[in-house]
Amino acid sequence: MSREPLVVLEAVCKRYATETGVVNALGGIDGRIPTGTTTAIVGVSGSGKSTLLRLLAGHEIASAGRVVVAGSDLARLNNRALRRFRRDGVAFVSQRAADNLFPHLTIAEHAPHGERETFERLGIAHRLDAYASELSGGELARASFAVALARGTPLVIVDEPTAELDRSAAAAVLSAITERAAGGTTFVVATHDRDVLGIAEHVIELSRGPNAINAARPARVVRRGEPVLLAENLSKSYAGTPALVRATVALHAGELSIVVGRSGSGKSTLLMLLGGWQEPDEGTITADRSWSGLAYVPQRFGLVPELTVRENVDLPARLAKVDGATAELLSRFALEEVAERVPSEISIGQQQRVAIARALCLKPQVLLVDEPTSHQDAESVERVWEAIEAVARAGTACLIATHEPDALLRADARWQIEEGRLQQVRSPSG
Amino acid sequence: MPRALWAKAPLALLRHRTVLFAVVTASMLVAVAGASVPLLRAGVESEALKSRIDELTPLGAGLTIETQLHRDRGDLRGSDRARRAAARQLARALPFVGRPIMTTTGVAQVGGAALEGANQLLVIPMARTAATDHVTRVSGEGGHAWVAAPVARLARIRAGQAITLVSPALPGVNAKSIHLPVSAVYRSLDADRDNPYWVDFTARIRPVSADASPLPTFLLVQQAELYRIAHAVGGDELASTFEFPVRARAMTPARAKEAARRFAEIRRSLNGPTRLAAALGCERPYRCSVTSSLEAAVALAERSVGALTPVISLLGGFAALIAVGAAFIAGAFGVRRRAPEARLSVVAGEARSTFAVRAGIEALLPALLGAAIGFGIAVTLALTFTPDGTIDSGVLAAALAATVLAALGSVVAVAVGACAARGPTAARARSGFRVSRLPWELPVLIAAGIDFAAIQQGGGLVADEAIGSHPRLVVLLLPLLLAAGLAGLGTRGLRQALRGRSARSDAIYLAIRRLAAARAMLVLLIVTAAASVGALCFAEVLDSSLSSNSAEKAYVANGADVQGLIDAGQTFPPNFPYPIAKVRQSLDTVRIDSVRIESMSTGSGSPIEVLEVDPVALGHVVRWRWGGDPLGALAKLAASDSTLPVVANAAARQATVISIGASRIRVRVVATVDVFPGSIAGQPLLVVPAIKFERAADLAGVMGDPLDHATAYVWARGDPTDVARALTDSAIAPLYITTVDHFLQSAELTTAARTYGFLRVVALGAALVSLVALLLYLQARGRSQLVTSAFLARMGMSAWRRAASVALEAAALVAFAVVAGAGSALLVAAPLVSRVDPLPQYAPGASIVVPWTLLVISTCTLVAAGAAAGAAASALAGRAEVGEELRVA
Repeated sequence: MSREPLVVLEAVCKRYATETGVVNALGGIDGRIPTGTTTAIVGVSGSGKSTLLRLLAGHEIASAGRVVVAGSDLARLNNRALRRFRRDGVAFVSQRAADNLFPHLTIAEHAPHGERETFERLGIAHRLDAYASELSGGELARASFAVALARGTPLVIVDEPTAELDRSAAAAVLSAITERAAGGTTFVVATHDRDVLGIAEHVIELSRGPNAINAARPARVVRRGEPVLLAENLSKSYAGTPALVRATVALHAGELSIVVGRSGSGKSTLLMLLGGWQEPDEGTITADRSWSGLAYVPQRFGLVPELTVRENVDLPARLAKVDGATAELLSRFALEEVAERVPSEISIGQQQRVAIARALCLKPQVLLVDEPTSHQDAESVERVWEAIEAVARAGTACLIATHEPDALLRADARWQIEEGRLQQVRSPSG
Repeated sequence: MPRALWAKAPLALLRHRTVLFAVVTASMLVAVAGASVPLLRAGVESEALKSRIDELTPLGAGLTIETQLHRDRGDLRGSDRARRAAARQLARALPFVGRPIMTTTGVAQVGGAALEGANQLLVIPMARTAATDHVTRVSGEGGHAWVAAPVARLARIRAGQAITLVSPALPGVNAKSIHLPVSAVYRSLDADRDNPYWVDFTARIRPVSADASPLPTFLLVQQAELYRIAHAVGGDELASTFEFPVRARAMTPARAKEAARRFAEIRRSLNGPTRLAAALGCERPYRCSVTSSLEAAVALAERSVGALTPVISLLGGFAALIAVGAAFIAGAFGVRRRAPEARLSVVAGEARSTFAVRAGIEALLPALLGAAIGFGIAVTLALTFTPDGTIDSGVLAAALAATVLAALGSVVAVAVGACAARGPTAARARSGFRVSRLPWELPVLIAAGIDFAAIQQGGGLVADEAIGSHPRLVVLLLPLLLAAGLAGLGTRGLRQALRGRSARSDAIYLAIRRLAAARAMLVLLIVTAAASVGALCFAEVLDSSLSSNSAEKAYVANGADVQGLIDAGQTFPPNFPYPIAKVRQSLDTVRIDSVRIESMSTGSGSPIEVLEVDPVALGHVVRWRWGGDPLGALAKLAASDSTLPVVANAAARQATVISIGASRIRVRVVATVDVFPGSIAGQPLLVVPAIKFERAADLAGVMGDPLDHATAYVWARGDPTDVARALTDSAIAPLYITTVDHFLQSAELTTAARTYGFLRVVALGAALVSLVALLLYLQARGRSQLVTSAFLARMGMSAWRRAASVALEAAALVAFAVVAGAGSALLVAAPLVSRVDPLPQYAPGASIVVPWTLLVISTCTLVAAGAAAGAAASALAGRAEVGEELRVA
């Protein structure tokens, strides 16, 4: 049965004037999104997914073309009507979960009339009296989504709803989407997640130019040596809640270790303790914590906003007074096109790749990366993993935290973490 | 939007302490600016009033009622006592007056053997409250009559003896007499000039001129004796004077006006058939004299404050404008610090006005707190600037009202700032337009150009005889506009120039990159700082120029530290303790018929100024620290062997001959000067040595004194007060002594100096606010880049190098602001100094004086403070825990 389109896109273009010139973020998009369906927007990082979402949500107006929602051309709405549309016609969930909530309101205060069932289904009902700063990344993402649903708008736009969620949490979100869509709510979701694509009835694919994926994956030879990082019996609690319990881990040169776990299970805490960014309550860590000894990529990238992409990647080499492999890294992470832009002018996925490239600049002994593909499209996911495997082959001890169990297939050493308890798991092959 | 946002709005800023601090500070500044105007005005007026009352004395400023007592109006004693009781009752009913001073006087003639054959000696028997406590006793003591020393001397009476008073000798009437024991002799009140207790009796104490006859002195007696005297020898006639002194210490303008109003009511009441008039003996047909100088004192105080009121109001408004701007920036800053919340507001379709209202509610309590602090500061400032002023409750209420208004104004400014900073707007997104690309500097610079032209055409000063000349707002706005425009253009250029630049040092490299990528908020801060520094520097330059130019004008106008008019033939005592010189100044052409100056002749009534001096003596008297040194010219005059060497100014430098009648005296100009002490603006000037001039005149056949119509002065060097006193007490005793201080204390100079002083305070405050805002900005930026900073540390950049980088950046920003501001100020001050000269009628013309030392020291201090602020901001930001930041993210 063909349903009436809630959203119609006609030759939609968007250009931004930036300090470094005009950026063509989106060019000539056409499409129709029927009412009560889920539409996935996919594309490589920087292809304009987030821009398209903002246009659909009425946050910005297209430079050319038409964006029609519920019969209204958003470009023709006056400010009052546009505000009314944003207030009553659409709910928007930003990719940065913390940005969806007011820091001084509890979750319950954000949606006083929201259905408790929605919060329960998303596994967040027990945190209704918490503030955003008291939630883990996964909890924040689910809370943001629940608050958006509670508004009861006909159109819900979500940017990477499962990027920071483990499988079960992601499944709860997807279930909620499916159920609400059946009830008549229209979802537009920008995603790299195959599971999200699985529930989408329509897909809008955005491209940024010819693909250049290096599909071949050479075999890896692991030369296990002395541990370059040794942590024993690490424990850490936050306000009395244990986040990590007596964790022991050894990272060896040339070894790719991957730790998987649900959001809030303690992955980030483990990496922060190993990286020396937080002090453990108990336990010892032996490691060289200089940038060439241990490089760490958290979920906040810490790029220097005033430096270009090239300067950011080259910064460790510059500070160490050595020549870095900047050009090679820019090429490996497909960042040449944006090399002269500053971080605020590129997508969050590109920013994440810049952060990883910067971490690799001095060929560190140990590489710690927290969710390296959370903001990456399929093509870039592969690119990132290849780069990590390459540095591991070159002798770097890598520890990657992710909620994607599939990633374990790439690992030399596999770890699982649940409620702060870390344990090594056997390889799938035995 | 969630309703809880509104419920929690009043305390929302507690979670954002830097924003809270910014709002409190901005509101405090607005309150200081708003409340200062009524407080300062009242303080100045009160101070002026007290000064006037001090000059007039409390008795002089108070109410004085004089009435007559006659025997035909009944019992003298009873009537006088009844009136005194009525006066005491009136004093209790009058506001702000002290205990009344009551005086009853009669008239009597002194008799006795010593006065036989002499002129009649009259005295005024007087019973006055505590009179004997306010005279200088020469001899004796006790409770009987006190006789003035001249009377005691003429009547040959000593304390312990008796004085005889007799009735006036009238044809056909037997003279009566009465003897009174004399307890003491006191010094004549005429010799006791500064005694304020007798101020209302001055006319009865001091003759109008030195040639006038001495006035009868007071015979101080008790009331009972006075009645006896009146009855025995005074024709049963007495006069009463009731003085109601004002309480000067607690006097405020409002109280003074109230008291003056009541005094006027009393005057009207005593002129009519009222009970008060009857009680004080003023009922018809008798009349009372009712006087008070309080109204005059109030009028004089109002006039004094009138000179300053426009300046206070102008600068109060100016300061308020800057402070409201700070509140606006605080609002914008708050939104930037809480960007995700502002974005949520946009995303949820909240109207800008609704967002602004919530921002206002969030700012309300901090604004009230800031306003309360500001009110306290304003009161302190008023008390500091006007230490002798008293501020009454009415003024405090007005200031409080201004404070409340200021708080509300701050809230509105914060809300508008927040509203402006919330974005993006739909309109902006539609066009892809960037506000920062607008060349906003151009309209600002055009406005500065229009302003400059207006001042050049004479619009710089308000000329008002009553309140003195003072600068208009356009003068104060010019440096602000120019500095803001140039700083804006400068930042654009500098950012372009720094793009792609590198440096070997990592700290410098990062500083350069940050400067090249400066955001709009930082640019706004720098522009504000440049404008503030521009205003400060402008005020300093104008004030320095005013001080220097007015001192030069004062010395040119007055000739020396002290000038006095003397007789031309007067000689000076040999051992006068200060350097002095006689100068004769001829301005007319009565005697000197003409001076030939090349093609021009000063004959036919054209005046030329001729100063006849003793070059050596004058060399010791003249004080000079400006250009065109007249001391060198005097030395040449003294050393010249010409028959008649002269010093001339530019208008007279080609003088060749002085013609006096048929006589011609050749002159030789040995030196030229721009100005000379005593010279008059726009007048040709010749300075001639006295002895050589007289000799040359003799030789030329001039009969008599060649400058016999000239005015002679004594010029002296030294502390003006001491020298003036020494001259007065010496045999020279010049008339009309003037000092440079008289000139420098003129209303025009005082008003202009105060204007620049206030501008300096306001600009300094704004500059400090800009610096604090810069610190806050850097700290907020450092806080938001905490993770970045931690990464830099991991990459090997030490804490001090990171701090040094921010310090360098801050120092560069401050240096840029200072150079842009100071440069703009100097640029506009140079051509404007002559346009805002409050005394253009006095030579020489105004010229710019740049306080380079102060400027260089201030610049270095500000840059150092900026660097320290940057380092402090880096250190403060670094105190937050990175791990927690990463965890929450």
